[in-house]
This record gives sequence, C-alpha cells and structure tokens, in this order.
Amino acid sequence: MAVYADLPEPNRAEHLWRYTPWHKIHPTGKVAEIPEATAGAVVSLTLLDGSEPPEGVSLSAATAEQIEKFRVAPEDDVASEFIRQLGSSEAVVLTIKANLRLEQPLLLEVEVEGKVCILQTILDIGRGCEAELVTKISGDADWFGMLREGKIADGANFNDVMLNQMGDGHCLRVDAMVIGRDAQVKAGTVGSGSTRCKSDLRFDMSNTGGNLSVNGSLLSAGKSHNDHHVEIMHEAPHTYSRLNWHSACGGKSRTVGTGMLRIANGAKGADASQKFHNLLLSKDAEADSIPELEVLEHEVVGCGHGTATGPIDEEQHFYLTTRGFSDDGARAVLISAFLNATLSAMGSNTLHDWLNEQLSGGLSSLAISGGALTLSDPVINDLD
Amino acid sequence: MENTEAHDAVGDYKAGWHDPEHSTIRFDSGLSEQVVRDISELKGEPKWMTDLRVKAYHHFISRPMPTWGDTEMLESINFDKICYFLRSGKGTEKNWDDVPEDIRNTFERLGIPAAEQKWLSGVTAQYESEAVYHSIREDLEAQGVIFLDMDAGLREHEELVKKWFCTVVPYADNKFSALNTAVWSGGSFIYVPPGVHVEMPVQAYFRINAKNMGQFERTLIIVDKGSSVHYVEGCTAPTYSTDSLHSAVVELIAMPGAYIRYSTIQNWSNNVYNLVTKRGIAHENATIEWVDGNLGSKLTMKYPSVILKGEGAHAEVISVAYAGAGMHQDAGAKVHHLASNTTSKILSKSISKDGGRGSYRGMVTVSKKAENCKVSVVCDALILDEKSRSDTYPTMEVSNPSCRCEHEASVSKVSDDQVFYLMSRGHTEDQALALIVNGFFEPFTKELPMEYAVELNKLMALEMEGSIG
Repeated sequence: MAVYADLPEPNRAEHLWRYTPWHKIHPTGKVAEIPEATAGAVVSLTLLDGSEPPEGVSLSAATAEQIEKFRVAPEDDVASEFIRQLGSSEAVVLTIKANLRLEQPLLLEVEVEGKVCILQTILDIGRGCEAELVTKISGDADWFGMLREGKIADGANFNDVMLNQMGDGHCLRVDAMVIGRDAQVKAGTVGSGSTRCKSDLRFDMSNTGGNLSVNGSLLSAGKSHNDHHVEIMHEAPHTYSRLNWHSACGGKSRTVGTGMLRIANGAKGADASQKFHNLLLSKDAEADSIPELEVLEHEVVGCGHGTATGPIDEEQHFYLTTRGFSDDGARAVLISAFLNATLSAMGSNTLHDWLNEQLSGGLSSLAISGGALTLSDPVINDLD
Repeated sequence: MENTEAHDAVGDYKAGWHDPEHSTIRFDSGLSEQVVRDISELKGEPKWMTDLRVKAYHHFISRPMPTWGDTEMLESINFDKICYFLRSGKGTEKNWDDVPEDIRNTFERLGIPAAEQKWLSGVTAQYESEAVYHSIREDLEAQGVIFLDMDAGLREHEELVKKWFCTVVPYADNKFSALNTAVWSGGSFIYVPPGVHVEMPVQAYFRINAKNMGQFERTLIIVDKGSSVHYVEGCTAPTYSTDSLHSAVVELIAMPGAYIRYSTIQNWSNNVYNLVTKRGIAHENATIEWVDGNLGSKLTMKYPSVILKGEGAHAEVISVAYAGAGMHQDAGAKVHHLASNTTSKILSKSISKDGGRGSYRGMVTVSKKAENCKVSVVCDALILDEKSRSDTYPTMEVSNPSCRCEHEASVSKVSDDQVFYLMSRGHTEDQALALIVNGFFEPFTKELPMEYAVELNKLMALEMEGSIG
C-alpha cells in the first residue's frame, strides 16, 4: 500500500497537475510536510426539509474493512493518499440500503473550520435504490481536504450533488466512484466557494450498462482559482456518459477544466462525450480547458468532446435589453441561464429548487425564484 | 478504382528500396562535441554558427527526454547508433545528368524531375545529409527570389541567415530543436522580396538511403511584405530492420501582408523516428498555412505552430495522419494569438488501423491583449479495427474575454450504413472503404497540388485493402 511520503511529487506534464501544481494546493506549500494539527469536519445527515433520514439510510464511522473494501482511488494518487494520511485513515460511511426509494433528497452538511480540516467519506449506495444526495460544504477552514470513495451498486438510480460554499480557504477534493451494472448516476458540482479549489473527480465504468451524467455549474469571481479534473473510464460494454461543464468566470479569476475520457479496448457500444463551456465576463478572467480523449475500441456508438470559450453573446444581450432589461439585468439573466443549463440537469425539481435557493444567498448573485429573476448586486459587480 | 490498380501503382511502401551506399564522407556513429565541430568545419562555416552549434549540443546533452508523448518509444532511440553526417556525391548539382546515377534513378522513381518540369518553380533534392540537386526558375531569380539549400544559403547570404536563424525556433526550445541546431545539414533557404508572388510551388524532397542514418535538415523561409510562396516537401526512406532518425527544424517568417503555405507529405518508412519542430511567425495581416500529411514513420511527434504576432494575422493548419501497424502518429497544431483580430483554424483528421495509434495534440493560447480573436479547432478520427487507438489532447488557454474559441472532436468507426450504401451501388467492400476514407481525407487532399492528391488517394486505397472487419 502506498504511503504519501513515498510518492513522488506529481509532474506538471500530467494535465491533472498542469494548472494547479501539488505544492500550490498543499496546506503549507511544502510538499514533504504533513501538518499535525488537523481537525475533522463536522457532518450531519438529514433530509432536505431537515427531518431525520428514513430507516435504511445511515451515517456512521467506517470500519477498517469498509475502508479497505471501498478503496477506489488509485494507490499512486498523491492527493488521496495525503488526505488518508492526514485523517489517520478514519472515515464516515453513508449507507443507503438496497431497493430503498427516497421521496426527498438527503442533505449531508459538512462544516469545516480550523487551519487544516479533512473528511474522508465512503458512499455505499445499495442495489436498485433510488436516492438523491446533496453534500453542502460550508465554514471558514483555511484548508479543507475531502476524499470521497464509493460504489453505486447495480441498478441504482443515484443523484449526487456537491455544493461548495466554503469561505476564503483552499479546498482539495478527490472523488472516486465505481458505477454498477445498469446504474444511473448523475454527479453534479456546484461551486463558488473557496479561493482556490482543486478537484479530481474519477468515475470507473467497469460494469455493463452504466449510465453517467456529470454536470458542473461554477461561478468564479474575485481572485479565485477553480481547477476541476474529470476522469471517466469506460471499461465495460454499453456504457454511456455525458459531461457538461459550465463555468462563468469573472473578476481576476481563473477556471480550469481538464477531462480524460477513456474508452478501453473491449468497451464495445460505449457512447461518451464531454463538453466544457466557459463564459468570460471580465478582461482579467482566464479560462483553460484540456478535454482529453483516448479511444482504444473501434466498436463505439460515438466518442466526442468539445470546448467553447467566449463572452456573453451580444445579440442575446441586445434582445433582452429591447425587452426592457437593463444592461446589468440582461447580463445577469444570460449568466444565470448559462449556469442553469447544467444546474437543472443535476437531479429532481426539488433538488433544483433547493439549489437555486442556496445560490441566491451564496453561490452567485443569481436566483430564479418562481420564474422571476432576482439579483444581489455585490457578486455581479465583483465579476467585472 | 480497383485496388489492384492502386497496388500496381503504389506497391507495398513503394519508396522502400535502397541504393548501395556510395558515401564520399561518412562520420562514425555517435555524437560528441567533436562531431559537431567537424560538421561545421567541413562546411567551412563562420565562427558564430560553430559556436551556436556547440551551445546547442551541450543543451541537447543536458536536457532530459520529454516526459510527455510516447515516452516509451522516445526512450528506445539509441543516439549512439545514429550516423550524424553522410555526404553522397560531390556536391549540389544544377543538372540532373550530373547527379550520380543511383541517386538520380532514385529521384526519377520518386517522380521528382518529372514534377519539376510540369508544375514547380524550383526543386531541392536532398539525399542523406546534403542537397544533391538544386534548381530555380530563372525568372524568379531575376525578381530577387532566393531559393537555395541551407548550406548554400549560409555561404551566400550569411547576413540574412544570421539575422533570422533560430529566431522562431530557439535552439533551447526543446531537446530535438537543440539536436537539430547542433548537427543541422541541408534543408532549404528561401527569401522572397517584397511584392513578389511565386505562382508555382517550390519543392524540396528529402531522402534517407543509408541504415541508421540521421537526417537533420534546417529550413528557413522569409517572405517579405505582400509576397507569397507555396513550399512543398516530401520525404521517404528505405525499409530497414534498424531505426533512423529524422529531426528537422523549420522556421517561417511572414512579414506584413505576406502569405506562406507549407505543404508536407511525410511518408517515411516505419523504421524512422520523425521528431520535427515547425513554427512560423505571422506579422500584420500575414497568413501562414501548414498543410501536413503524415502517412509513414515509426513515431512522428510534430506540431506545426504559428505565432500570430501582428494584428489581423491568420493561421491555418490542415493535417491528416495515417497510423498503421507499429506506428504512432503524435501530430497536431499550435497557435498563439498575441495580437488583436487574429484568426486561426485547425482541422485534424486521423485514421488508425492494424494496431496503429493516432494522437492529436494541440494548443491554442489567446493572450490578454489579443482582442476579438476567433479560433476554430476540429478533430475527427476513424478507428478501423479493434487493435488500434485514437487520442485527442487539446489545450485551450484563453485570457481575453472577447475571444471566441471553439474546439470539437469526434472518434468513430466507418459507418456500416455508408459501406452498405456503396456496396449496393456495385462497389466491393474494399472499394467502399477506400472511397469513404478518401472522402474523410478530402478536406486535406483538395488543398494539395493535383499530383500529390492523386498519389495520396492511391496510397490510401492500398492501405485500406482488406480493412473491413
């Protein structure tokens, strides 16, 4: 088993580390150091309306067997090994029993405080269950590291959304999920929190018929740096994946989207695509994309990727101003619509409404409430 | 077209024969500072060039191999087994009759003299390390157009070479540009004066004949204000069981309003490592186009680049790659938008077959000061069997919000419906596949001179023989 100290510092020639080298997201910047004073995040699990989760859903300390059983992240991955070591291999496991159908989404609240804060989570999503989970990160930790590993069992229908509303700290996130046979998974990332965020999201599609939709809805403002790497490995036949990543980038912020879509030899009938869309809102904003594609199987339905970067469409903006919107109002509508295109694809209407509510206060200046657009100006101004 | 016709016309890697070696000077294999100095001395070069070569040599030695790309294949290059200089014949001739018979026959089989008579403004034929034949139409010479092999260019126009050499591709740009700068020999030197349009293309043909040969030609093309030129290069080598190395550097300078098109048909045999650095600088309203076909070699790593330095400049890269058995075509394009209102278009197409690997590796950057730029990148790949693979590694870095930057890529197999339709119209499976593949490459072939396009279509028809399944 790999130990962090034995792993070499990642090479920036790897696209995963090209824009946010390891020392830039390490808590002290000195990669040989493993900080001693760490705090565990405070977690609580409820339904979205605040009530207790039903029977069959549990959040508990993970046993050593569970940690081993759900070890999905690659052993040579520096970030996940670092978080493991910081957390002394302690983890919580969220279990949803097989065939359980949840009427409303689960809310896992993660409160992060202190200089260095970590959380290792295991998702054990039972066979044939139908559930939605939203993980909300908030708090003012200087540095937060989160490792989530899990298995979504065969036939499960699972929507998993991560909402980052951290303060000004740095956030390192590693997700590694195995998608079961015929499971349908939607993985969403919504964020405007933390001044520096590095995410490495990995999906293992090694079971026939797995269906995955990865959506991102990100707003970067001020001097924030958002770097997301999404890796989808199609190992089994007849697997399907779609990645849609929308980033609106203002102020002096930088948004980075790198993706690796790999179709292994033998993954016949795979159907995969990834798209990165970046909206540049200010003269100092920067957007970088590297959507990589490796195809080793020729019997595929289709594999493609695309990236588009540009400013707000002038014609759309003009049209809205002719319909009575102010300059800023029209701009806000277009930004909102851009982000909402992926936000609305993350799960049920209940989840979508809740996310909109959250965003009106924190993520951005934008909220769509009952079809009417409301703005809170400070963040919009920060985008300029 | 019948595939038997194609086979008759093209043969199995039709350029794979070799002549007996008649070298007049051959250096021992291996590289050292002395080898570098000897090459320079042999050519009677000025001191500044010798010093530059030596500096580049030390950079090459100290610089590690790239840690990206096909690192496994790169690590397998044995630089000690390569011959870094080999001269065949007495010098550069102006008449084909004066070229040694074996060598002349080789170029006749490759169709170079015939093409020269029909549709070229000038030709340089390089065999091993140096040009053996060179000519240019007299009317162009009278207009001040300089078209020489690079060695002659340095001898006859030293000031011009000194001014521009290594300005677009510095010797320390990468490991292989350092190697080329240290041991370069041959290549083309072109200068087109202001307002001169070279109507017919000029061509250079590069042939490696000897075993374990290294060919390191250096090409420098300067096209002055409002002028234009189309440069075509082709390359082949015999098939040997041991490896050869081709590591060229090409520098293009398009002054304001100039136009350069650089077309390449690379058809090295599959024992040649083809590690090439090609880059151009386009000033105000200038255009640089790379039309790049990679059909051969063991490993190609080549990413034609354009630096759009002047406002209104335009770059276009159209490339195709065919990766057959044992081949890795790691090709692509790079465009750097440094000025406002610059535009670029990249179209890349690749086919992988019989275990071949085709990779597109590209980069587009838009600087903070470059307003209203437009970028379009399209990559399409076909995988023809279960042993082959296709990769796409595009990088887009956009630092100006007024830029519109688009990239799209797709990988697929040949559509069964298309094959079925063509067969229902009377074609065999092989013919149907050849037609589909030629159609797939059509955006590239239509940019080539007719003779090249016809030859390419024949070649691809042959390669597609027996591919269905």
